[in-house]
Amino acid sequence: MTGLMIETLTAAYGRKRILDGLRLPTLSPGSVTALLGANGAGKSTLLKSLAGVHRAEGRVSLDDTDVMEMPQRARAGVIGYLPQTLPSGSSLVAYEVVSAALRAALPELVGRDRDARLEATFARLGVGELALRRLDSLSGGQRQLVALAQVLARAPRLMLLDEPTSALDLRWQIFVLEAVREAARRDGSVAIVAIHDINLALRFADAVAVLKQGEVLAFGPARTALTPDILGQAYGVAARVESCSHGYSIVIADRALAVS
Amino acid sequence: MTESTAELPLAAAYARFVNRRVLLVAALAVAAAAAFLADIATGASGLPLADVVKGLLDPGHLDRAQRVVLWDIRLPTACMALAVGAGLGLAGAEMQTVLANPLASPFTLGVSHAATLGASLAIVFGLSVPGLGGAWAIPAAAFAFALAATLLIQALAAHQGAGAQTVVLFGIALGFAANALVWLVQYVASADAVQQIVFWSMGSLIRATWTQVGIVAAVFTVCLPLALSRAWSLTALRAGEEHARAIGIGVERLRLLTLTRVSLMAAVAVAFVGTIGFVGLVAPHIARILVGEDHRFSLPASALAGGLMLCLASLASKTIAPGTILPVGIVTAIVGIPMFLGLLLSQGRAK
Repeated sequence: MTGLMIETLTAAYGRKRILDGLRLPTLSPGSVTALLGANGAGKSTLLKSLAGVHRAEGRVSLDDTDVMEMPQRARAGVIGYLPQTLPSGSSLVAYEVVSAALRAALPELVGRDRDARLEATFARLGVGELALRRLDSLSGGQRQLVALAQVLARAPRLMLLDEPTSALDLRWQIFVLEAVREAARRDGSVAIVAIHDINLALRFADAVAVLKQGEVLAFGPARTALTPDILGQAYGVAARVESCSHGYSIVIADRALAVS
Repeated sequence: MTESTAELPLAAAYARFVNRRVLLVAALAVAAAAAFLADIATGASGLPLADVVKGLLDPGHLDRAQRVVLWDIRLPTACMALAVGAGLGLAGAEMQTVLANPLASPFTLGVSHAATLGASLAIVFGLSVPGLGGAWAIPAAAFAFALAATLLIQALAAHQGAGAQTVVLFGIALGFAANALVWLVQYVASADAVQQIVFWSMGSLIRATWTQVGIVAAVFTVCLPLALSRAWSLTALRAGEEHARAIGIGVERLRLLTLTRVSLMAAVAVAFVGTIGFVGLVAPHIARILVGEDHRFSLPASALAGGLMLCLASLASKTIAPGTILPVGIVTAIVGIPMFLGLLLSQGRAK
């Protein structure tokens, strides 16, 4: 288990290159990395490219295997991806969504083992009562929890979560990030979480990667990588990084900078 | 609850949930069978249900004329209604899933319009198929055009990168184009031919022969197991295309294979009976309302709902105006819409 190493990654939408030879230092097993950056910085494209959902080229090794060379079926066995948006008009029930994902991604997991895995995942996220509810009767936040269950159930080597907390209230935001961190620690897997809430990132991530226009602007431990200068460049805000009474870093954005 | 599921309450609850759906699919099958029997027992020549059942079990029970009515008129018509309805229901269900569009149906993709164009050309130009009788020219042309239309849409979509929305738009555009060409053909055709085209396009079951029933049934019998073998992939696709891709489903390939199968099924169905647009659109919705979107159940349920609808429509086409048989394409919508609205509204109240 050597974690994730992105040596080079290039992805485009049509003719527009979103990522151009992006590289990232090794993300170690059991770690959570927050992916930060303004809208359109390339966070979602990076996650989709790694998940094999968006076409991309490059060299990316996960536990010493080149994932870009893997067929999609094999990739789905080791990578779990949580999309940013989930369909609201489906009458599938939550249990079926997670069960179908397990069947497709881990075909070797069958019968009672699969049932037990489903049981444990719904229990861990505390969403057992949602299991037989239809997606179109769930709130946005509940659908997000179901989508996360689908990733966690597979215990993937790499978790790619695109704004997993965007529709959740405060308690669930913390609960979900705790669950993700716990899963990463337990399985020695790598988690990358694209997230807009910088303070949540500072609280739960071992490292942050800040993107701007498809380039890595800063990377490192959350406490040192995030500086007022980096925040200014990445988000266009005048911001302070301060220490709270418990010793955590918190970011306070004072005002938006004029567009240069 | 057995001991093995005792510590898996969710699995047990889901098993009960699945059992309810099995019961609902079975109920739908019973309803379709009842409608099928009622359809056979109804007709101008008065052959009551009791005689029909006896005649089916023991052909010697009926006299010669009754045997002809039963075996050469009523049974082929009723079997055709069941087979075409089931085929269109299945085709519509698969189409709505792979195109992620609840308005998709063989109609939306222009399949029916293309079939009408083929039939029109065969009627106007008196085409005939070498080696087959004259009666086959119209269905053969309708089938060829319907299949060609869907293959053209797929080729265009594949060339463009095959997004679901693109396929739907191509289909709609093609439907309009085919429609315009049908009008053009009608404009230059003789009054006699125009009447024939109009009659064909309203859809009719009474032309059905055993050979045609056999062809539709055979295609359905091949398509249903193939569809069911991909049921889990189709189910996963309903949770979003990106999600499906991320769990390792080859979405493009699934869509291509499914649409090819659907094209064949829809083309065969419309070739023999003409335009019956409503079933392919509504049967999948009825199935979804009843059993949800686990495709292990919704695909058979949609096929059964389609068969049920068309059998009821066939029944109605014989009873609405005594003495005449209305074109089934007209009746399908008249019978189907109240049935659909009723379900939709009752579901709305339940929420």
